Amino acid sequence: MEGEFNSDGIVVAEEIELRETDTELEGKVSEVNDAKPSLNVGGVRVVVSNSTYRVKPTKIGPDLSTQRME
Amino acid sequence: MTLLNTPGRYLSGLFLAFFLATTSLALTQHLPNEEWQKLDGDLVSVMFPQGAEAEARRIAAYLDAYLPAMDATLDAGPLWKPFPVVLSASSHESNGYVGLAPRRSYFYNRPSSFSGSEWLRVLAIHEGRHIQQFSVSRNSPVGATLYVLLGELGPGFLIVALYPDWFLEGDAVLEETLWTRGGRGRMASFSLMRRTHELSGQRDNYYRAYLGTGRDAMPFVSHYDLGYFLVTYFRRHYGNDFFAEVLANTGNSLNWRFSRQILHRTGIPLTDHYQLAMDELNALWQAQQDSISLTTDLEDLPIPEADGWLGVYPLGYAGNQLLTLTAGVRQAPGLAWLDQEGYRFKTNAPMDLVRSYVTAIKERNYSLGGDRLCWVREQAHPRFALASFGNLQCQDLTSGKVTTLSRQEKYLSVAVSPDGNQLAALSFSQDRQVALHLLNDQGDQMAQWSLPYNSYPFDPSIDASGKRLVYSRLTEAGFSLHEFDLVSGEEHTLIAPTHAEAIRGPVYADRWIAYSSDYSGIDQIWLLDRSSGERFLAVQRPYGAYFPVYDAEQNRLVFSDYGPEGERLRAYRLPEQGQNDDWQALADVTVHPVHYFEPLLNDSHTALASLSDTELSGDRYDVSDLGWAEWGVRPYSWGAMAAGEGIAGTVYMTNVLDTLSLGLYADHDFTLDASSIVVDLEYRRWFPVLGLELGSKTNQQLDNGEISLAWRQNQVQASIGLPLAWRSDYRQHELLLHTGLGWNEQRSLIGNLTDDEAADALSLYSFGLTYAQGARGAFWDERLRRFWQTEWQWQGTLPQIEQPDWSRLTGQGQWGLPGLAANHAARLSLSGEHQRGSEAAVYRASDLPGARGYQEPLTREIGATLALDYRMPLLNLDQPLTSAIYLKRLSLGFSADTEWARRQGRERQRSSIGTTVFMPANLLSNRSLVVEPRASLYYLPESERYSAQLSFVLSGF
Repeated sequence: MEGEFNSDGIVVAEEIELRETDTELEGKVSEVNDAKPSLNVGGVRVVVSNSTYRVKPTKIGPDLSTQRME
Repeated sequence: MTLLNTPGRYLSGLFLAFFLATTSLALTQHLPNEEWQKLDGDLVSVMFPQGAEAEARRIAAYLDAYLPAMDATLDAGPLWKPFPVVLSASSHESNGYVGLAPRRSYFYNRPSSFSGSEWLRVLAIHEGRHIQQFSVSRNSPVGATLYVLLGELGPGFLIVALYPDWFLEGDAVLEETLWTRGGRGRMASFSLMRRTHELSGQRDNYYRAYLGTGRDAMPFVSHYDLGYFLVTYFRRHYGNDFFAEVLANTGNSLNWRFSRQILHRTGIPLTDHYQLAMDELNALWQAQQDSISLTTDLEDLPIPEADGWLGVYPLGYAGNQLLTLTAGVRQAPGLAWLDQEGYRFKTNAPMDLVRSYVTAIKERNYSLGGDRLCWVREQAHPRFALASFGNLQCQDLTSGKVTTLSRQEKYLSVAVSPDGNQLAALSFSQDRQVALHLLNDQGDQMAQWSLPYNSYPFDPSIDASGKRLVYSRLTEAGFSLHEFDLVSGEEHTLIAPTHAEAIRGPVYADRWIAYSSDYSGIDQIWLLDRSSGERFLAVQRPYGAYFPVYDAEQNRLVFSDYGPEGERLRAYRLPEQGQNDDWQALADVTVHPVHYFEPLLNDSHTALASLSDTELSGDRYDVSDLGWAEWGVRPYSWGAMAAGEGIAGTVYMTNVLDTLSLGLYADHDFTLDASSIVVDLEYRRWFPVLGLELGSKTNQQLDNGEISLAWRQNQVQASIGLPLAWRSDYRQHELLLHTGLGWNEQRSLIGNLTDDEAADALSLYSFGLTYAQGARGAFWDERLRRFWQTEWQWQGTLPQIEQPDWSRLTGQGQWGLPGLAANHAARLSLSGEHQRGSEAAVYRASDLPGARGYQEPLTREIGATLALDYRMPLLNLDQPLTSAIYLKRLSLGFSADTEWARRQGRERQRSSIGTTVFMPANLLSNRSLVVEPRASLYYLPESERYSAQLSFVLSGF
């Protein structure tokens, strides 16, 4: 949240648009069994699972979680 | 913490913790060699670099004078302290802001004419008002409670969710107008787009006027002028303390929403108030327009083929050719020659140079002389973006070659002599010294003259002889017009400083100096007799006339005439001798400004607005060097959670100068009786950005709700990155280089990790490179149409250490291309990876994008994905769903993807064809809080199946 002196709606978006870093939440209609819903609240990712939830700090970049290859 | 809890799924072999450089393109630092000091005012502290003490004293004095005075209409209570103000003297940008997390206000150095008064004074009032608004949220019962729970994010959430942007900015614009003799509320250009839109019968509903659909009749909707009019309307009709009462109860009563408070207090919905305010303004603006005697003997010049709003601006004549600048909702900004054959497109133009023509700023950036077009380009230091400059650039219009004539200078604007051999450039230094420089065609200085300290000269223009310069100037005393003799160095004042008009765009026109002024209430074309000094209102248009240029061959003025469809070129022939009968001498002009704020003015406003800068010098304040506490970090947000069998907490800190960030996370799981702790540090003061993460985390696998396996992961990651960003011709470039080292190990807590999983600690390395470049196109473009980026990443285990040998190379490229019609955009993406290793178990699942429509990416040793996207606008929705969601528009996308992978000699290939509907919407009536639901349907030809997918993209946090 910022209150600016001048915002004409033209230049501001330029730097943002070059790198599309918006938060994406995906819930798939098909094959939903693997979906892990999550919310990003002020830099804290709240991961919701079947029976519990945890918080962890997140940052730009891929998730650190890994899994075995099939 | 990683949760692997899907029943029936195999826990992975070896848990590799990949460290990836955490560096993002956060470049908002000052040069590291700046020495910082601090000055304590009564209410705020001002942080400033050495050499800017006088300005810091003035800022503190302004805030100490204006904050208590302004509080009467907001009743903010105790100011949120400390609320540091940073004077970013090294910046060459005309802006300022107040932000949270961490809380601070930044004042940028470069003035601009759109403020209508002395820069730092207007900035202090505007940003000071934001500090008060934020203090209201912090002091409210709910805000105070949320602050205890979440830190600054708590009151910040109230501001984002409950205070409309139009109120925050409109309230600040009204205050800057009331408490100075300038301010945007006094300037006709500030209301230009909304006034024209309204008087031409195109009024939008409240939501569209505020939030816009992204495809509006104007290039962009502005919550600044909308807010100024709405806030003024409410205070005119419901009293000066109306918003003090509204804010005191917003979030803190049963009618917790801002709009419900307005309904509760007035009995009228906000959307109806908007209509009433616009009705009132319509009557005022219509009466103003009715008082104009329109100039009719004008010649309409051709315009480029256009559909929708298009601005056309004259830059100057070369013989019988007129160089024009064009920018539209469907047309990307560009330069074009206009002659009897029509328009000939010359080259693209950068949006950052075009903005002062299109917006309310209405300052001239380009100057044409001979076969050269010159301008001043704002360029930030590629690493420390808060050190920015105004550099001279010229384009040879014959060859098209662009030359940069200065490096790290602080120029404001430039005028080229008619033969193109001399440049007169105006500069504004870090310590607010102002000068006029005479330069040769190579940019070498031939002479320099000082202009008054802290004045803002703009819109220079050289006469036909190349010996005289005319320019506008803005100071605390108002706008003035000056002529400078480039041979003798003598200056004389053509129009004395005044707040009664904004004087812009002067040019020599034979016996006259033509300029644009809103003296009559609307910006019109005026003429000043060079021999007698007499002034005449020469050309009157219904909405506003700007940027006159002189056509010597036909002895006429060509200017931009604003109308509902944008700005059009009109020509006005000057008399061969004497004056035209329909001109009005200055003394005879009917003055009819619409000063909507005027009924709110009182003696307090007038008294404070009349205080001169010398009376507000702030001599009494103590100055000290910036101590460790100010360089250090302060917690700005925190949180704690308790759930089921665990508790967790986080704390985040960043210093005001944005050079150091620290994040702490800890949890404790009572079932495991084990704790996790993660410390994340980033240091950004120097060229490289240094990152360090230390962590000891617990992980677990659940089977049928029971913990079947738990383990501890200890991790150290260190990274070093170099982010850079710069501008060239009309593109923006971004580059990020990073590398890092990491160490990782796992130990079992419950159950047993396999040997592969637990055996060895891993030492890892990483290198990465990301480069992107692009340019803004037309206002309605769906996304960037001129764009490409590439990203490369190398990761692997360190050699010569006894551990599995593994490495991976990934690469991605994207190309943005114009689509088949205006505003359509195509994007081609190619990504691939190559993994190799001594043990198959260390191979990692791909995190590159696979073919869309499939659930899992193909895991692979070698693989690649080729994707093609096409996005086009479909229709405007303009639909509020309650007041919490505003559906802006529908866009349609098509995609075709193919993915190939090879794993242990086995090859797989799959593809998809899809279509997606995008529906961006504003949440909570907040301009920047945008959610974009996407509904996709993919056909998967290999399996002859369909796959549907819903996703949401959030932005604006």
